[in-house]
Amino acid sequence: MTATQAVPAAGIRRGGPHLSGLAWLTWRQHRSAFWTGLLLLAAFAAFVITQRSDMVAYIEAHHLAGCVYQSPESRCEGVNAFRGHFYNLMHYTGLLISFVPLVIGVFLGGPLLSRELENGTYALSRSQSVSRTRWIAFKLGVPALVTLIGTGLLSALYTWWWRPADTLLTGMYWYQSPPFTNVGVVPAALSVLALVTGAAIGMVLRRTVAAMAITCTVSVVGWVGLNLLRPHLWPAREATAHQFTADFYGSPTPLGLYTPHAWPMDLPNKSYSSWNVDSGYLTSSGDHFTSGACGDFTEASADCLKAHDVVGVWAQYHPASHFWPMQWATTAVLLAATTAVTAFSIWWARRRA
Amino acid sequence: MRYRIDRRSGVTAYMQIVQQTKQAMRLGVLVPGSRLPTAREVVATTAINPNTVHKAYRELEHEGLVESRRGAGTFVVRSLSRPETASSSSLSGGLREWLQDAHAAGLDRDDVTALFTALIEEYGASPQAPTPEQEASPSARDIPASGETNDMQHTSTEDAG
Amino acid sequence: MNNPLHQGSRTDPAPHRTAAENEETPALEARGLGRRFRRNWALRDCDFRLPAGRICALVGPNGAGKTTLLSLAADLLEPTCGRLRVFGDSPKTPASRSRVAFVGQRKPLYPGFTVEEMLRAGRELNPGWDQAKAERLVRQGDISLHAKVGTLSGGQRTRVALALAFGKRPRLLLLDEPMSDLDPLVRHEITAALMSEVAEHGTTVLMSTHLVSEMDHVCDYLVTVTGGRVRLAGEVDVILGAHTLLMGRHQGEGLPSELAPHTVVSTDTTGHQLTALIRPRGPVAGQWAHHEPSLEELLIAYLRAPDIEPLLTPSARTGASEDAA
Repeated sequence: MTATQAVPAAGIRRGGPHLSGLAWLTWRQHRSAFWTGLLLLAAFAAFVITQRSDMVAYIEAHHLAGCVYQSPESRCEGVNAFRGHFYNLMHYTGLLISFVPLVIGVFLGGPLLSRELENGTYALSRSQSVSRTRWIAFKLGVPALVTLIGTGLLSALYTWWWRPADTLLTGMYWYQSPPFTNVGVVPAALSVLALVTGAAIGMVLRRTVAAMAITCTVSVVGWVGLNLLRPHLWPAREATAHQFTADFYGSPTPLGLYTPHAWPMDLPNKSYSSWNVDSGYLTSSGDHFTSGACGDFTEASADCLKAHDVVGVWAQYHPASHFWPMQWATTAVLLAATTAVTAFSIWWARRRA
Repeated sequence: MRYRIDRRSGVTAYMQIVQQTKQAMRLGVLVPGSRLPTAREVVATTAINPNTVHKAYRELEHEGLVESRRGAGTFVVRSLSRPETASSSSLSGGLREWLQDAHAAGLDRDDVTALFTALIEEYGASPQAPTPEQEASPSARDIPASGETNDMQHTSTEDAG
Repeated sequence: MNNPLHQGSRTDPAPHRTAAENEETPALEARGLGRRFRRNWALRDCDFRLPAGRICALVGPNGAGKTTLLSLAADLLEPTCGRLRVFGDSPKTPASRSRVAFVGQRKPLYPGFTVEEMLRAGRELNPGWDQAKAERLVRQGDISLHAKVGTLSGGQRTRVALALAFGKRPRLLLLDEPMSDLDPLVRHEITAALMSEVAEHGTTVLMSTHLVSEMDHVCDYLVTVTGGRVRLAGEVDVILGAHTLLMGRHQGEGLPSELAPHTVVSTDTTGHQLTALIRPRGPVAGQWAHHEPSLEELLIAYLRAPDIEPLLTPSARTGASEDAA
C-alpha cells in the first residue's frame, strides 16, 4: 500500500480542456451534453459548407447577385428557379435551428440544478470549501459560456450560409423568422436566456421532470412574446405617398396585391427588403385612416375611400438597414432578461437553497 | 499486542483494554520498553472510540505501569511478569497436577472455575491494598467475572506472536 | 496492525490536542436555534454545546430534527431563529466551510464519475485537500480508483463519501445516518476506518443514528432530539450515571410516593413488579434494587417520554441554558 500523490487523473483529461476547480467540476458533470452539442455543431458546419458552396456557385452561374424577387431586370428572372432549388433546405434548417434555444433550456438548463437538488449531490457540492455564490456562478457560468460559444458559432454558420441569398428568397427576408432569430447575435442570447431560465425553474421546483416541462412551456410563451415585441424594439420609419389618387379610385389593381394593407409602391426603398409593420390610408388633413375600413377594392370601397377624403397611403416599416440595430435591440432585451433571471438565481441560491 | 473488545461482555471497553494490557504484561508479552499500540492502531481493528484508548492508557499511566513519551508513544515501564507464572514454573506444574486430580475426581470446567474463584475470594480478601508491585498476585479485582477470562488470555497470547 | 504506513513512526497527537481543545471553543454551539419549514418547526429552542474532540451520537426518532440540525451546521440550511456557531464562527463563513465536512444519508456522489474523479472533485474544491489520505481510505476498502461511482456497493459508497469528507481534513465531521444501510461486517470496517481518522486528527464527530449498537463503544457524547427539541446532551457516562433503574415491589395505583422527589423518566409495571428509570435527586427511599441503566434502556425511555425535563451535563450547557437551569 503506497499512498502516492495521485497522478492527476490520467483518464480525466482525455481530450477535454485543462480546467481546475469548479470549472473542471461543472465541465465534467455536463461533459457528455457539451460534447454532443459540439459534435452536432461540427456536423452542421460540414453541411453548411457544402450547401453554401453549391448555392454560391448557382448564384454566380446565373448572375443572380443583387437581384430581388420580382425584380424588373431580365437577368433576375432566374430567382424563382433559384428559390425552387434552395429555399426548402435553408428554410427548414432554419426552423430546426429555432428549436435550439428550447432544447438547450429544456435539456441542459432544466436539469442543471434540479437534478443536483433531487439526487442530493447539491449537499455534496455545498459541503465543499466554496461559497454559494461561487458555486452558482460556475454552475451557471460554464454551461452559459459553452452555450454562448456553441450557439454563436451555429448562428455564424447559418448567417454565412444565408447572406448570399438574403434578397433572393421570399419567405427568408431578414425580418422573417427564420432567419431573423437564427442569424446574427440573437440565437446566442436566446439560448443563454433559455438556459438560465431552465436552471432557475429547476432550482425553484427541485424536480427534474417538472422543471423540464415548465421550461418548455415558458420558452414557447417567451418565444411568441418576443416575436410580437420584435417590430417595436426599434423605431420604425414612416413613409407616405400621394401619387396615385386618380388611377387608384378607378382601378384598384396596383394596390390590390397588398390589401388589406396598402403599400406605397413607389416609395424610395426596396419594398421586398423592407419590413412593413403597419400601413393604411392617409386623409388630406394628414390623419391616418384604418385600411380595410372600406372593405375590399370594389367600386363601393373606392367610393368609400373618396368619401373619407383619402388622398394617399402611409406605411411604417423597417428598412434593411435596421437589421443590425434590431439584432442588437433584441439581444439587449434578452440580455436584460438573462441578467434578471441570473440575479434571481444567485439570490435564491444564497438565501433559500 | 492486539486488543479484543467484546461488545457484549458488559465490561466497558476501557476496562477491557486495561485488563488485557495487564494480562499481556503478566504473561511477558509486554515487557519494560515495549511500545503499546497507538490509539490509531487500536481503533483501526477494534472500531472503538480513540478517547477510550486514551482513557485506558491514562489509567495505566496513573498506576505507574506505562509512560507516555511525547512524540514517541506509550511505553511499558514495569514488569508484571514473574517467573512463577511461566508455564514451566513449579507453581504451574503443581496447578496442572491439581487439575488432573480434579478431572479424575469428575469435576468439570465450571466446577473448577467455581472452586478456584471461591478460593480466591476467600484467600485474596487479604488486607493489603494492591500496589503496582502486588498486582502480580492474582487479586479478585483483576479477574473478570465468568469464563471470559479464558477467552481473553487465549486471544492475547495468540496474537502476541 | 494492518497499517504499515503508521507503524512505529506514528505518534498520537490526539490526547494532547483533545485535552487542550476541550477548554477552547466548542465544536458546535446552538443558542435558541430554530428552523421552521412552512408552518412546522423542525427544530426549536435548541441550546447546547458540543465540546471539541468528542464523538457524539445524535439520536432521535425519524423526523425529530436530526437532519435539520446537521444541515444547519453544514450550512445547507439557514436557521429561522437563534444561531449556531462552529468553532465560534457562523457556518456561513469560509473558515467554517473548510472546517466542516458533511456526509448525507444517501451518500450522494456525482453519477457517472469514477472514484478517481470524485476524489479529484474533492481536491479541486478544497484548498487543504489530503489526496494521500483520501486514496488510502478508498484503497483500504479494495475499491478501484477507476470504478464508476454508480457500480459501487452501499459500503463502498459510504467509504468513498467518507474519503471525500476526510480528504478535506475537517475539524468537525457531520454524518447523517452513516451506517444505516450497511451490513454488520461493513459497518465494523467503516467504523474502524472512521475511528482511525479521528484518532489521528482529533476530529470532532457528530453522527445521527438510530442504532444503539452503532454507538456502543464509539460515541462518548450524546445529544437526543425529539419533536425538534434537545432532551439529553452530554457525556454518555455522565448521563448514564445520572440515572438509576429501580426495580421493586409496588401495589396500587399511580407512582409510589418514594419516587415523588425524583424525576421519573419511565415506569413499567408487570404484576406487582415496578421498574422505574429515574433521575435521582438525592437518596431514594424505599426498598429498591438499583441498577445502572444501559444506554439502550435510557434512550428508549427518553424517546417514549417526550415531555420529560431536558438534561444537559455541564459541558453541554451554553450560557443560555445555564441561565434557564
